[in-house]
Amino acid sequence: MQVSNVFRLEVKNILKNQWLYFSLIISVLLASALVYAIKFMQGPFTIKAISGFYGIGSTIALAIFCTKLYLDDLGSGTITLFFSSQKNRKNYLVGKLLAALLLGFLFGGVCSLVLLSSSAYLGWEIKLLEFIIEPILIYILFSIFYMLLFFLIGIFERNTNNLIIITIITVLAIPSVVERIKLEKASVIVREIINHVPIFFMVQGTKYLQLSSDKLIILSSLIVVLFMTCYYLIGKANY
Amino acid sequence: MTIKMRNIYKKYDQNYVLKDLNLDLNQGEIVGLVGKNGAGKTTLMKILCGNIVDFEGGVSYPVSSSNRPLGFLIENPKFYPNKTGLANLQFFAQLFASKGAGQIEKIIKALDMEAYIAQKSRKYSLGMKQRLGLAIALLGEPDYLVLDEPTNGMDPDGIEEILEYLKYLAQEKQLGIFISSHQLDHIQKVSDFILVIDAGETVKSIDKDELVGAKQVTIVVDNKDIGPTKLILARAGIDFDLKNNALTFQAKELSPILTKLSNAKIVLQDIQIKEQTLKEFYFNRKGGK
Repeated sequence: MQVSNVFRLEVKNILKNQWLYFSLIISVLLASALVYAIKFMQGPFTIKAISGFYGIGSTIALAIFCTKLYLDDLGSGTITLFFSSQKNRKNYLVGKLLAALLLGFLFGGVCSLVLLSSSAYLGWEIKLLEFIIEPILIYILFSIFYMLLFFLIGIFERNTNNLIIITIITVLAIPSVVERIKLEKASVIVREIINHVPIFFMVQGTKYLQLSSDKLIILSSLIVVLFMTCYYLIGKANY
Repeated sequence: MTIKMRNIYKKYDQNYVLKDLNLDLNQGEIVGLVGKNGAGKTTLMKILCGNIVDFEGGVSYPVSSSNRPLGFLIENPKFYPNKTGLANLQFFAQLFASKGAGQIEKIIKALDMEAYIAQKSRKYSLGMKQRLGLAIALLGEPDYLVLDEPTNGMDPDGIEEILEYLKYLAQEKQLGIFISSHQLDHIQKVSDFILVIDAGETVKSIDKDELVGAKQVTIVVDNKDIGPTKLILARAGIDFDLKNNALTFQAKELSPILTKLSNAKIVLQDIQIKEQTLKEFYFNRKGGK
C-alpha cells in the first residue's frame, strides 16, 4: 500500500463529497452577506471582517472534514485493512496528511477568491500577497494542525461519536469560552501563554487571517511534534 | 514460502491470552484453527495480520512479490457501508494496486455476488457481507489468506461453495490459508493441518492424515478381562477411557490390537467402530467430555 494510493483515493472521496461543496457555498454566502452590508448599508467593515464571516462556516467544516479523513475508516473498521504492517500504517498517516493539506488548500483557495472578488466589487485595493498567499497558507496550517491533533486523539479514543463531539468542542466551544473569559484580571504571563496556545488562537487567527510570526513558529513547531508523535504511536497501537 | 510464528505470548492487563503458540503457514496449505470462545483465536489472527503489534515472540513473513502479501477477514467483514459492494471492491483494488476490473470481475463471479454487487452494502444480509469481506480479502493477489469464521451467516449451499473455493485457492493458486470456525466439520473438510487451542495454549496439532481412516472403537469385555485388556492397550501406547466394562479408544489400525486381545484369550462381548471426526478429537482432547 503506497502513500500515493491512499492520497489518490482520499482525493476522490473529498471531491465526491457533496457536503464539501455545501459548506463552501455556505461560507461564501456568509462572506457575501457582509459584502452586501458594506456596499448597500455602509457597514464599517474591513477585508478581515469578510474573511472572518467566511471563516464562521469554513473553520468548523474544515475541522470536521479533517477528522472525517480518519473517522470513516475507524467507524467502519476498515482501518484494520490499512493497518496490516508498520509501513502501511505510516503510509496511511502520510497519505491522510496530504489529503488534509489538499482540504486546507481548497478552503484557503476559495477564501482567496472571496477576498479578491469582494475587493474588486467594492473597489478596494487588491493585495495579491495578502489575499492569496496568506489565506492559503493559514488554511493549510489549520487543516494539518487539526488533522494531526484529532488523529492523535483518535489513536486513544476509538468511539467515532465521541471524536466528533471532541472536534466540535475543540473548534467551537473552547475558543469562544476563552474569548469570553475576562483575561484582563489574569497576570501577563498567563495571558500570553493562553494567547499562544494553538487551540485557543487557531480558529480566530484563521478566520481573521491574523497569525503573528511568533504564533506561526509555535504552530509550525507543534505540527512537527504532532506529526512525529502520531508517526511513532501509530506503529504501537493495536486495532 | 512459509509464515512462521514463534513463541507467541500476548497478555491483556496481567492475563496471558496466548501462551507460547507456534505456527507455520505454508503456501498451498490450509491450516484450521479451532477452540472455544475466548481461547485466543482472533488475537492470534490479528497478530498474524499486523493489527496487534504489542506481543512477545516473533512473526517472520517470506519475501513476496505481491503488493499485498496477506489478505484477511477477521471478526466482522470490514467495508464502507455507504458504498455499493462494487465501489468497495474498486476502492480496495486501487488501494492494494490490484490488476483492476479484470480481477474484480473474477472474484465477483467466483463468489457468486453478481446479483447484489451494485447495491449499497449496508443493505446486505450477513452472508452477503461475509462474501464481500472475503472478496476484499482476495484483492491484491495475496499469497496468504487469514479468515476468521468466514462462513458465518451463510446458507448450507453457500458454505459448500465457499469451502470448495478455498480448497481451489490453496490447491490451484497455492495460497496459504489460515481459517478458524466453530463448525468443526467445515474445518475438517478443508484443512491439511488443524491447530486446537484452549486458554491461549496449543492443546493439539492434528495432521489431516491422522483423521483420515482414524476410528473410535468401543469394546465391551468381561469383568475379569478388564485388567489384561487395559495392559494390552497401554503397551500398545493407546489412551483409553473406561466406563463400566466398556473401553473406548482411538485407533487407525485395529487388527493388531484385536489379534493381541485374541491371543490373550480375551472375549469381546461387544464392539462398536465409528469413523473418527475432528469433533471427537476436539471433545476428547482432554480425557473426554
